[in-house]
Amino acid sequence: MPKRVLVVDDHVPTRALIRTILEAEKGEQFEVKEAGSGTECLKAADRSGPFDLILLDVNLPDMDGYSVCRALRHVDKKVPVVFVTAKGDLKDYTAGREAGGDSYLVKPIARAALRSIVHLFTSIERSRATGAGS
Amino acid sequence: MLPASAGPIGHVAILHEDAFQGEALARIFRTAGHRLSVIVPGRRVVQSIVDTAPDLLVGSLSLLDPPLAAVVRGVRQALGSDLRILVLFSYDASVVPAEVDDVFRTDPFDAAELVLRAGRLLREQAEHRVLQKKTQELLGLYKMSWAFSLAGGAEALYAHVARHSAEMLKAGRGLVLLYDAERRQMVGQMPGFGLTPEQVSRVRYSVDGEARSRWNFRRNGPLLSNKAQADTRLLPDLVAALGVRSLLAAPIARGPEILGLLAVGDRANNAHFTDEDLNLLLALAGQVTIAVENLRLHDQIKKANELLQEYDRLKSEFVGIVAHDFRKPLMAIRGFAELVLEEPELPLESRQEFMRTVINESEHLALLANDTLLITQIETGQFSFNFSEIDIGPFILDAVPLGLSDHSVLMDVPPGFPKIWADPERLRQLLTNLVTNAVKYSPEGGSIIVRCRERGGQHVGIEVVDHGLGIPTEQIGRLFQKFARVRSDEHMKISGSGLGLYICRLIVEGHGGQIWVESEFGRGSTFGIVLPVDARAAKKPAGAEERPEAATPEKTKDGPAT
Repeated sequence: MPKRVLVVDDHVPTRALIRTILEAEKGEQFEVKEAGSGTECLKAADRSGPFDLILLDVNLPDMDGYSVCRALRHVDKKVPVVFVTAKGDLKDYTAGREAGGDSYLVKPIARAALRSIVHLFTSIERSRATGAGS
Repeated sequence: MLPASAGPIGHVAILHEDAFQGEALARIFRTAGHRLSVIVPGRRVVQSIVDTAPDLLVGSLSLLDPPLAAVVRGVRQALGSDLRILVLFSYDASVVPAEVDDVFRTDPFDAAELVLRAGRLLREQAEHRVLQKKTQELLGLYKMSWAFSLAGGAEALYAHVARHSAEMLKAGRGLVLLYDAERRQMVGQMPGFGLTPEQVSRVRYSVDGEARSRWNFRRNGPLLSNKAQADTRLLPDLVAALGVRSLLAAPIARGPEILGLLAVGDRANNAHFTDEDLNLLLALAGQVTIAVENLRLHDQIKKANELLQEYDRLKSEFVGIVAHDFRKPLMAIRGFAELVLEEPELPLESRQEFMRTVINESEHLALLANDTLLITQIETGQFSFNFSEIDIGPFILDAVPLGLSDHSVLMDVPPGFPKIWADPERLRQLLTNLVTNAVKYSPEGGSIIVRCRERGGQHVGIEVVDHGLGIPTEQIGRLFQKFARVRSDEHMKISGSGLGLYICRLIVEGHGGQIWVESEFGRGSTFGIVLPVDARAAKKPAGAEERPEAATPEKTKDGPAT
């Protein structure tokens, strides 16, 4: 089963990059969906879910990523949310934590860092799912 | 024949134990022109002299009950050194008390000499009094200027000036009035002295209208009026508001510019103001000018400082947002470069596509850097526009970027369109920005019109019309602000920094022109600029009197946000 990842970013090249990186992974298959705004993200989480991981930008055209994250928790309580943002202040980081994010990455992110964090969170999700099943 | 007084006329008090001789002395002085009081010796003699308050006391040394020495001591204590004392003696002056000003031997008696001596004392006294008054005035001025430097804020200053001026001129009321150039009014400043806040608030009169035919601080200079209620020179409203019987006013002026008025009213004991009082008030007003100026400068510096702090905050915010905007393209550049480097088996098309993204994003970064630099330079005043004369018709035909896409761009430039003074490089950037926007936000294609029109003799208008996405009405207002982007799903698919229109606005304002937009969401937008024919004269955005907007068509539009 491929891991389902939702990439939320209003910057088209960034979305294309993350998609390319994940689709180029050899050991694991990823199915990447894209959203360009907070509304699109919530719509996708609601209609095309569940996802194994959501990579969420903070500076979105219609709402900020923190609000998106809080709203997401109404749709899907346990999906890991990793903020991928250009906002690098400590207060942004704290806001991300308080909004219920699982991790926080500041752009520009090295390919290796992105790969490891995606693998980490998608494998946690699998163990969670397994734990729930046994 | 007795001699007339050689000095000034004064009030002379005679104190003699012999009533007959006292009356004879009084006659001598009265004949010389002086005012006379004869003091009856007794227990209350000191009090009688104090009550009489003479300029000169002529006393007899032979007075014993009470002794003259005791009287002199008591009177000196009560009246100070201003009172002159002349002691008459017949043969022995050695027991004359030290506090007296002069002694006179009565044996043999020389009436003419006595009058001369008394006259000399009175003259000395008059001179001394003038000197003392000047000293008091100087001391007052000094105290006033000293207090200004300690004064905290406008209210404390006006209170101090009003009270101090009134006290120095022995007036019951004092008030500072300042000229409000915008309203063309003289306005009483709170708090006054001897005036209620209601009275002060009513002191407010226009310098136009009726004031033109009355005494007017702008033309008539200082004012002395001892019958204010009946003085036809004065505005009745002003006199009624102040409720004064007499009025003294001096302009607070800096060179030829009148900043306001210093006024005092109601001399103590219903006395009259004199020309000398007016001179003193003029001197005070001179001091007040300095204080009012200092206060104005102080306020200016305070405001400038607040503005600087605001600029500093905006600047930090700007740097923060720019840093954020630089990271986005960097992420794509780094990521795709890594992919190309680390994945040797990538197909050629993918490689080319990735490298194209890298180049595009690098270009975006370069543009962002240029825009940021330009904005910072213009905002901090480090940028100077290079104006030259442009034949705008051919210039526009040349400057508008064509072939950006398959949109059709129609140029509507009437023949013989005038030459204008502008910065060619910035004008080119402005037109490129507007036309590029029109193309970018018309994803469905369609025509774009660049229309040029003369707006009166002094301005030209250039409009860029598209039939693209349009702008939601509620977002039009902030469109020319920094980092403002139209927030709609359609717009967000198109990348932009939110700096382009802000730069357009800075360029237009740098030319003394205006930028505006009218738009219907879903139907398209028209961005228009109005530029003065000669931008060299217009350093600031067009003022209210010559708003070029008035010449543009009457539709809903938004000027640059301020």
